[in-house]
Amino acid sequence: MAEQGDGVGSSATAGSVRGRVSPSVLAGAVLAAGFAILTVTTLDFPEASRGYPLVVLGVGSVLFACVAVQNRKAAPSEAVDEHGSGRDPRVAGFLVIWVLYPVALIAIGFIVSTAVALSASLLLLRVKRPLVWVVGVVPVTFLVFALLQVVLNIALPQTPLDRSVADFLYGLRG
Amino acid sequence: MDSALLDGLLLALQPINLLAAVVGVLLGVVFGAIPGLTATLGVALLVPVTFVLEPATGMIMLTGVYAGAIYAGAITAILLRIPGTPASIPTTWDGYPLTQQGKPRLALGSAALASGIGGLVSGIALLTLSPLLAGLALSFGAVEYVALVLFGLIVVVFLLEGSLLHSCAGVLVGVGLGLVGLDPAQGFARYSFGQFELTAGLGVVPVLIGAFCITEAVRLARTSRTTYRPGGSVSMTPGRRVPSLRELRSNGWNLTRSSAIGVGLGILPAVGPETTPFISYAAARRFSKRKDLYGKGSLEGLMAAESSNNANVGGSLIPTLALGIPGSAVAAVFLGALTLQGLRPGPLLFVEQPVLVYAIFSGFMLVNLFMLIGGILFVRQFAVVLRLPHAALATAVAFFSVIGAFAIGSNIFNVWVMFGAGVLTALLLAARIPLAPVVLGLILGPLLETNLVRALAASQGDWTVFLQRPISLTILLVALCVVVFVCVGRVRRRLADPQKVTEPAPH
Repeated sequence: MAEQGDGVGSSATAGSVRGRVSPSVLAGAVLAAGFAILTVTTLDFPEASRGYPLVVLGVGSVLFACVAVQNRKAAPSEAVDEHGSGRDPRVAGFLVIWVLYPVALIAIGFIVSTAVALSASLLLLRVKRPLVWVVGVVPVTFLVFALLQVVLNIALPQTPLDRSVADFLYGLRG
Repeated sequence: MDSALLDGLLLALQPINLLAAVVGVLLGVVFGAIPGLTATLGVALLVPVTFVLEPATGMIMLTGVYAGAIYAGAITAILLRIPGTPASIPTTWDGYPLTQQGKPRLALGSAALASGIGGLVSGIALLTLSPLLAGLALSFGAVEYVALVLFGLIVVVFLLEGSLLHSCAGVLVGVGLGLVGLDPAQGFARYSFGQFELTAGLGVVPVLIGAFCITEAVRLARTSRTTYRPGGSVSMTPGRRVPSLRELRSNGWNLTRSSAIGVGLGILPAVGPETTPFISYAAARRFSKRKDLYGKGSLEGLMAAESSNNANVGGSLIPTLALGIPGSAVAAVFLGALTLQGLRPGPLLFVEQPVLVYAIFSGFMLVNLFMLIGGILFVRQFAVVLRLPHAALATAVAFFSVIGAFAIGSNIFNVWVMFGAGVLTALLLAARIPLAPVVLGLILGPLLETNLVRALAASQGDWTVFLQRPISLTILLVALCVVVFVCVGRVRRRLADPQKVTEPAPH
């Protein structure tokens, strides 16, 4: 994987900035806690099934505790969020769209849910010439549906609209 | 073997497989040319598509994506001094100066030629070394596999630059993810939380899509506002497209050495195409008679970097196919694709499916040939992909990630696994844990546990069996040598420069 060194430093206050815990320390601590909890759960496993997970998870919890400590000693300046979007509501909105998309996929079928999700995502991210892109989403959705459902035979969730389109496409295919 | 080789070649030459090779290369060029998209992302996104294709067709397409993406990073590296993929960082050092000298076509053509040659050399290595390695591995038992897996995990921890602690922790995350599912010893369902789907374990492909694709979609969404735009249009001043015969002859040894470095390092886990070009560039400079040109538009340096990163592609497929142990993160995704097809990567694949194996090898050679020709003739057209806005890319990557995860078994559960993996990856990146060890731990963890259980059952709990078997002992001793070598190197560097602190590699 590409290396991106963060520089050199060993400031005593490296891991925290003005009383705030840095994300790298917090993440390490969360992972350590997660591993520790999972380690404890292995005690409920049958004895013959306990050894390997106990070792893996136990060592993992210790290592992540050390990771949190090492991150605290690392360079004082965490990577600056040059895009200034650490808490960008549009990024949150983008995530919400795509997490809800599978739910909508099952509920309202592929064509409608995909067209809505693609349009919403493009508009939210403020693509230039949004009208062109949103209008373009419609044929793209049908094209992707044809590719996945008819050409590649992937069983997609379907409503009557999807079924009608699929029947039409199968008819064209002959 | 001869008939399997011929049958495999004929299978690869079928029109559908030739089309798959071309499509794969084109898609790979898209992923490689656009900064921010990577070969791993491209291969991971397309794995679900291969699920519905014939195995040979799907695998050939994936090799096309892999090879095309690694090559295409050179396009923006040369034209804009922005590496399209991490593997093209050294390409910027001499590629961009050549563009500034009014020789973009020569730089791009040389990169395509070198990439193609590196890829073809690695294809020959793949064709010759894989069967030998697979033949050797047929005599491996559970004991040898435990040693081999441990070797792979140790190599990925110790050869990856950055903090050993962070790499070790990453491996344990991957191995920990492999604990989900039925215990190989007792059949006890671990961490299934009452979900039937989890008794079979976490699907490798949805996890990889979540780790590499969804996180990239979010990153692209974050940068959609401050999208980098290439300054003005990309101009291609007229000029020759390829090096002259004299230049090629003078680079013969350079290309051979760089390709050999790429193949050799590709066989090792963790030393992927991102690391290899730095080493081959340094080697080329060391042996060069024109060191003064390096960093100022040296064709030699450019070709050294490009031939080695594409040679690494074939090299990384050697242990992937012959042993079932991936030689890079992308190869790990490739391995996931094979598993999805119901195939067992490893020596038995050569016994049970020899025609398929040789079709993949032949397809890989064809892919590199198409890439070489396409890179020389159509690079101006390839550069068009640079105009795609990040907002559209983010949307497309998110969409295909969700649909890709869903398409595996038409199961919505895999989509949630994918999102869960995305959240975990975000945590790991925040904690500065590199992803390569996580991926290898995920792939190799179940292999380790299964073979460990078998080995200890056969030896009745005697752990010294790993030291009693000669192959196992040899592998473990080699691993120990790697550990000692790396540790000594780190201590020497620290003593030479006490101010430098080893920082964790974030990705």
